[in-house]
Amino acid sequence: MSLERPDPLKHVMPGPPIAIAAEALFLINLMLLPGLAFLALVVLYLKHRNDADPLVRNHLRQTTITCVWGGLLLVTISVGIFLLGGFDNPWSWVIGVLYFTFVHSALILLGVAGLSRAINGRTWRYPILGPREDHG
Amino acid sequence: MQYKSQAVAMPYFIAAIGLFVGQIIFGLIMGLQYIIGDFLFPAIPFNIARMVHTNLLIVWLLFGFMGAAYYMVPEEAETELASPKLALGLFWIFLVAGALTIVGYLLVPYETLAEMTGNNILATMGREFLEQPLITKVGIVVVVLGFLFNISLTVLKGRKTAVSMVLLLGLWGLAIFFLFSFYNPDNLVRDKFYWWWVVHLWVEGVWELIMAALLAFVLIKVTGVDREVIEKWLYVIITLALVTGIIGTGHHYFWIGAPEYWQWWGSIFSALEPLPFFAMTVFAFNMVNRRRREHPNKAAVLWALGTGVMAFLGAGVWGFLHTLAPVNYFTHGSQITAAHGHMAFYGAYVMVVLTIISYAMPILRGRAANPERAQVLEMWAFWLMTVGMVFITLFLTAAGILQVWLQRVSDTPMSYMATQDQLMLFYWMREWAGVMFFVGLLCYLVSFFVKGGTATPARA
Repeated sequence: MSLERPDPLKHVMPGPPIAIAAEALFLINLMLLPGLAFLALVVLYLKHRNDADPLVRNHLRQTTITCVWGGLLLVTISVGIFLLGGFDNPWSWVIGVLYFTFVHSALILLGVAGLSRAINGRTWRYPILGPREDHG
Repeated sequence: MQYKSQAVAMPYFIAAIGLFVGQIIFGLIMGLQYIIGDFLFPAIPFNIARMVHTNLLIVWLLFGFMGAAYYMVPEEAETELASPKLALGLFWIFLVAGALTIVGYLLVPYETLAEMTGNNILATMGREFLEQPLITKVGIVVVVLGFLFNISLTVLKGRKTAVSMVLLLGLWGLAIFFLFSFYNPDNLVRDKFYWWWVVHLWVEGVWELIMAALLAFVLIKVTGVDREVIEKWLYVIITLALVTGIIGTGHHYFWIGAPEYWQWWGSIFSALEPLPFFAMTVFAFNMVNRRRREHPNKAAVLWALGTGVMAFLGAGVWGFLHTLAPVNYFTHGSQITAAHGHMAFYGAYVMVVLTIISYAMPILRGRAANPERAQVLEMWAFWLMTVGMVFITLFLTAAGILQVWLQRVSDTPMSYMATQDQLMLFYWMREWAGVMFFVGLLCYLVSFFVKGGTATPARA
């Protein structure tokens, strides 16, 4: 099935809306509504994971899986740094804050790249955390 | 270039780069003074080095903005500049006044400089970033008014585009808010209140408009994406910038003696301040992703993308890091602030000026893009400066967190100076990162003189 896409040079958002929504929810989860946006993303994924458009499937799968791994990476290691170092240790704060800021910012910037690809109707794979190939 | 009068941008860009070099040299001197307290004392005391470092930054960015406007506006308005002679005359006035001010800082004791320059008539000196003598401040107003007259007249007689309107709005805002630097009430709370109307409403208000306009102009040129698409993004960005940035001024009112409600207003609105920078990042990536052609000036495209990313990190993420009142209660005025200041200024304003210089300079020199070898060196400069700045920021952030702990959180708090001794490792690493930045800047300078390979000819 061939899918007609709007001209990217003339339209503000030529990509498929569900793919854009998935990437937007990925970013909202990181920046505005952590947890709630993740739940919305999971619902979106479950509802549209068999969508006819491969681009929609690609972005849904990439964002959902990266969200899970990214969240684990962010929370577990941050908690680990404080548990191992202790809250009363200034170095826990130095390393913990820098680690969290670094990983969190990196995920946001990757999300921006993903959103930009979705808006322009292109596929995207999150480096390291994103699944290597899309099935179905 | 399309219009002969655009050539007046060239001296502005050259002066901007020259002053940028001066700024970084003084940054390196100060970085070393953090470690070796009496380095170059008494010739260049720390407070003077700091003043020269920050003032040079402001002045060279103003040169950059003016050069950018003189280059962009004729092309946007599709007409020659109203008065190229006025632009050149104002350039020399601004350059001589700026240079005399810096020489004054370095050679004359500050209080003597104040006496010599009429501070007893109207006291405006002695405030961070606004240390300029009264006559320099008046000079800045005269130059900026002449510049705005020239630019506005050009826009009025030609085509009006969203890009030039946003640029004009930003530049007029810059001039209007600078006027608050002349108001220096005796009451320290009110003094701080209005001081932020210059400092904050510049960098987290009207300068964002200038930045968005510059970025939009370059992206239109290097991507070939329809102007309407880019203009829609521009509207979103400036709306976000003004909605968040104006009331976001409140994050400076937390501890100056202003009413307590500012802790809520300041926290909420400034927590939203990353949004315009985030939108700019999405905007830059989006436009480059959907470009209709590979522009021969790859270096300019790289600077444009870098601006989006670094502005978001420096102004957005590092701003958010310490903007909420309960956090700022501990972090206020620590090295975390310095970390934010460094990356935000570099990411948002230094990089956007270098973007427009990177795009415009080859055209002003008669070609669409520099030879391949020159571009490769410029891209090396980009990476060295950007990675250098990332490290400066990370080391200052680490120093700041440790400082806050030792000085303000610990059960046995240390004095300011005793704490500084504990931060030496980070200060050394910051200095080396600064050296890396400086090497990048030298590569950038050399890239202007690299010949060889084939330069892409400019379009007729």
